[in-house]
Amino acid sequence: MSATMQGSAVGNLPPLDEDLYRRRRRARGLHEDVTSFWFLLPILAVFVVLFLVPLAQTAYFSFTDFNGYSMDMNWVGLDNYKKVFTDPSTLQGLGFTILYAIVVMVGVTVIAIPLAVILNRKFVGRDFVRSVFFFFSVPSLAIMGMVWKYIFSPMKTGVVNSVLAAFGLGPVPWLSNNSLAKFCVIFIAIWAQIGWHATLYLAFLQAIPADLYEQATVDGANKWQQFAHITLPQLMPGIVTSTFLLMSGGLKVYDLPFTMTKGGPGYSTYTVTQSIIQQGIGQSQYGIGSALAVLFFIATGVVVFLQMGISNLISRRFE
Amino acid sequence: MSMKIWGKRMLALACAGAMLVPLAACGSDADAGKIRLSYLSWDNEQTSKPYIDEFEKENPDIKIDFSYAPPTSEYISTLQTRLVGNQAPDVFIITSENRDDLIDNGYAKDLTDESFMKNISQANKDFVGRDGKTYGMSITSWGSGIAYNKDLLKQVGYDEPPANWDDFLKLCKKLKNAGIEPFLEPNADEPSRFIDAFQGSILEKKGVDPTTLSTQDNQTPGTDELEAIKEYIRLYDEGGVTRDTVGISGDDMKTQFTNGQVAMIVDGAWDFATFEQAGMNWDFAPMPKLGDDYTQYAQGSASPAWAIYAKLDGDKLKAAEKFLTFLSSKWALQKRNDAGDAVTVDGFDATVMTQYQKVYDQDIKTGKYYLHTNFYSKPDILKSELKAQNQQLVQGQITPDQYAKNIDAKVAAAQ
Repeated sequence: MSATMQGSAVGNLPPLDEDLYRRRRRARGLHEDVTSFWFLLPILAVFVVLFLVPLAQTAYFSFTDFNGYSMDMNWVGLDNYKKVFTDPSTLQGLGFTILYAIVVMVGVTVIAIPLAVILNRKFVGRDFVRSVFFFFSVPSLAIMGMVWKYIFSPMKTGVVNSVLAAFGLGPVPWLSNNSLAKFCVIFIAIWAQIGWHATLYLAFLQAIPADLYEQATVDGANKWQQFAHITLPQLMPGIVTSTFLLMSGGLKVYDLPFTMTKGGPGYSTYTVTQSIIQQGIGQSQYGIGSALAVLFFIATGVVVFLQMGISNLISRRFE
Repeated sequence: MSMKIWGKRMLALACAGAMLVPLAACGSDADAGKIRLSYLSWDNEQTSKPYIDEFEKENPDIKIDFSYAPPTSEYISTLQTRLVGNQAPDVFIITSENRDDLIDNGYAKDLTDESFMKNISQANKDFVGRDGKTYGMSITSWGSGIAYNKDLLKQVGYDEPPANWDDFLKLCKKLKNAGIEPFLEPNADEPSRFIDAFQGSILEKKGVDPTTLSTQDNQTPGTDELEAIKEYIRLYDEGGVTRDTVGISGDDMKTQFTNGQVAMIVDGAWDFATFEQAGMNWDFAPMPKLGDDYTQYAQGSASPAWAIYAKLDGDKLKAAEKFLTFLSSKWALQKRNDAGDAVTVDGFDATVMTQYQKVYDQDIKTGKYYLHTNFYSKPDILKSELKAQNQQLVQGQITPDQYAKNIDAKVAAAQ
């Protein structure tokens, strides 16, 4: 309404006044931009100092043999990158990291959405149940890893093995078998994160207008049809956010596998971040650690942008 | 300028001034004129304070600026940052993981001819030495052995673990057949301690000086210990020890032992207090030897050493030398000994716990201990690779030959 009035007012002005008005509007816009810039300056400075400068330094170090003890370093070209691609432990770490990120993302999403739907219904003790599920995500994954290490101990006296023994079953080599160790790490990551992501979905669920379901009921839609055609499409923004967080977090995972298995047995639960920290800082191979970090930065960027692109395409389909 | 703005500025100035007061206190009159010696320790303040207090009491003209970083990787990266950032501590710790880097880059002073090095044992000097020069002062050593539950061993007719490897494996089998968990080692945390003990005795039998290993152009730490590996894996192939040790940490192992759920573990003096507190009937035996043709060895090492920053001179250098002299004094050695450390300084009459006496006399005092990673370049890379390959070997996923090949390939790539 006001825009129409404004437009008509401008249209009635003589040409000179209209020009003056545009200049004033441009000046005001510029003034607002400058004001916004000053507000953004602190965070820009933080971004440049804490992100761009270290990133540029990392990229530079990746072409050198910097060992952390002397600033006299030699340019080694792509040697560090070649070493990264030929090191079996790094490649194994990359394999597990990708497996972890994908399985955790799919697992959490598949469980958290139905859980959120259930938690959105009315039942006795609903708030308590919501709190319990959310509580799993409160302790850090590093603490979780240390606790679950005892629960999944491969010894007869391990918590899970003791329970199995009570049913007459033999001990299972949870953390001493490569496949089972991978399973344990991924299982705990899913278990620990479903509550938080269910809460996220719950917020989106509560924003879905109730009349959509009422109309669907009148039209004869069953519960599954309502879920597939109303709930799921309406949750798409939430799914995009949740999967983005899970994928980016999964690719950077370090704390849980490290505290639970230290990357073992062998290199079966070794991750790229552990490799960067171990080789770069722990073993003073800053050149190799930096090359790995640069490659990982690019790979993570590509994967996350791809995932966002696909999610956006799917969400547009439901609009 | 309005009164309001003027008032605000005055208030801000007063606040800024107030913040400077505590800083001024840092350089109190009591320390004015003293020589300030910076010391980056990897023992925490509680452990280090008695030594610093006593030193400052004996040397009132010197003030120690103490700082601390926990071992090992955090300490090394903290020291690294300070060295590169021109904030080098005057006295710091040199150990196997940073020894080569500190020497190569000229950060550690050559202490070979210093008077306080006179009584330091040769094994401790070798630990932080190169080409006949010594770059640190190490005064204690450690060695591992077999901690055993006397009650469980008695059930199969043994008073202590046998001294020979073949007999040790027979004992493991007997315990297993009696339904007792025979032995555990923390393979989730570290490579096996047996391999190092065996390797020490194999090198002695072959007449190889381990200090020459790191000077070789093409180092092959995997192939070098192949014989020891083949003997070690018999623990699982013949001794019936559970391969689940791959998923067992040091804490798990200790808990199992103190709860009486395992007969023997490989451990060291650092856990003796826990065994005592558990009130169990335990003792400690030296590691078994490979056979009668071999000398018995322990897995062990000299402890990390104190180093002096190479660029120190004048009064600061004199103060640093005084500090190291003090740390090797009778008072400081006795204090270390009382704290449970195995002091290995010549002429010092050390006392250790009764259970540790045999290992101390047989291995530590005589220098019959060996740690594979101490004798090759890039020990940090070697250690993590040894652990990973050890786990795969115990799992039965690789053979001893593949183990050796993988270790050699990793070290070759790092070199």
